Amino acid sequence: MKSSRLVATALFFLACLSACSKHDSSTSSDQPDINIPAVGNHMLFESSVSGERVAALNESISSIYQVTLDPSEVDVISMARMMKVDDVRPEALQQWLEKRVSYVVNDGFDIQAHASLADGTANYPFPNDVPDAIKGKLKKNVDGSIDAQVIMLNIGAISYFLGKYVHRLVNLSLDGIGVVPLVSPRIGLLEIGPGMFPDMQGKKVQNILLDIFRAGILFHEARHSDGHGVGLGFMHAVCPPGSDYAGINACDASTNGPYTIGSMMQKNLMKACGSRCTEHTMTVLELYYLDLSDRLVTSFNVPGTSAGAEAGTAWDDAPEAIQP
Amino acid sequence: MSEVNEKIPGKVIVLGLLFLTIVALMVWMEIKPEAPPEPMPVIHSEALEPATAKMAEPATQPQEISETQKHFGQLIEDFKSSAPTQADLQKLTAQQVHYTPEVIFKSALRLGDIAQAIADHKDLAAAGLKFYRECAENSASPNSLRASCYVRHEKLIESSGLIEPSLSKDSQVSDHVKSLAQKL
Repeated sequence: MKSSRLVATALFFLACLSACSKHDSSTSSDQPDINIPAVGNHMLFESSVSGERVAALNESISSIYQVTLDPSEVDVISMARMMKVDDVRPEALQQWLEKRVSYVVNDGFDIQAHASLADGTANYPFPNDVPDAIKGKLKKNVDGSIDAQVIMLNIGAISYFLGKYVHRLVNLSLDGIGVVPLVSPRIGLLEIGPGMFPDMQGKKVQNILLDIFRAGILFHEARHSDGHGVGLGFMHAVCPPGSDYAGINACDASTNGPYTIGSMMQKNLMKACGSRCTEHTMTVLELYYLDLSDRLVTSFNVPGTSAGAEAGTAWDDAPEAIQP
Repeated sequence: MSEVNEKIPGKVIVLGLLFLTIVALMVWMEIKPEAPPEPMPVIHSEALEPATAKMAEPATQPQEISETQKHFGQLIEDFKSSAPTQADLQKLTAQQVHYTPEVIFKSALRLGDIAQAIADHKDLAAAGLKFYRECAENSASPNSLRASCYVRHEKLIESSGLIEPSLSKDSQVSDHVKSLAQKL
């Protein structure tokens, strides 16, 4: 009896071994994920943002801790200088980001439906300065509401500017968060959408690929929370002839704008990933970097830009705020 | 009952051991590592034509294209059939191109598949070089795609050891694409 049990157990064990080995080979991936322990952050998400998107953004911030930058690298030094940081450790980079990004809303967020104007006029600095990117594109509605066609997804900076345009403080009501007064572009309110969460059509890629891609976008949008006067929000310029996006507001006139900051962050994280990133991941990230880093407008392309925000120069990134 | 049990074990053990041997052989056949890919035969597909005369001898006898090469040819076709032109990108809206647009995103994934295949199968290097050269020289393509192919071409020359002219002197690759590639 004992022998038959032994044989049966052995057969069961072997059958399991066979099944397990088949399972391993069918689920093993050529694009292995990197273990990314969760790191906390201070971003607040509006209730309409799905749990999946929240998790993806949280993982993207956590991934910064897995690909630590080398402070002696030329590209890292250059980026740090542009961001005006002395420290490129993950904690410092996260801090830089969180000074500029505090709230996240979903795509399709209707500013007018969520905005209300505070009573009385507000004292905005640089009251007559309008960024070149939106000169002539703004109109004030007869009923006093605000309307704009501005190209960036940093809704906080947009809303701040719209308030400035009508000399009234804008309060935005965010579901699950509360009312946020837009006293400065540094309030940091981002709209996220399909551009950040592309349809992968079931294709398996390394998790770090999308994490670095999204980190680049977060740092890009964070830069929109900076600047003042004509440089407010580092708004995008029209791309020049010869550009992949000629004629579209998808370039930067400043040399330290969102595309430069975002692409440099992406490049440095990619390089720091090293051999943990597969050939596939590196190739994909390289192309994203090239797409974003080719969006710089020079003074040759746009000769007539305003003083303080000339094309081909580094703009002053000091943010403005409503004065008491 | 105990007597019956005393008689059965001998037969069961023999049958069991026989069965175990068969099962063990089957399991071993399932999990043994795959044989390494066969040496690259001469390729006749246009997509897989070697980049230079030095890299492949003219075929005297038609030979079969391996599954790896067929798959690689398909990856290249997939990339070519879906890659946007620069004119395609300029039809998109500012919102669509605010970040890397979806068409470039997908082309990047396909380019990644090609690069990964070359990394996994060194015998695809010659075909890879030819593909990258054509891609970098394609004036209708977006600058970013061309620059990416340029970078990959130059890296592959280094890693493969194949004798192939650099694209740095190629007049069909614009100066803008070359300088963009230098940013990496």
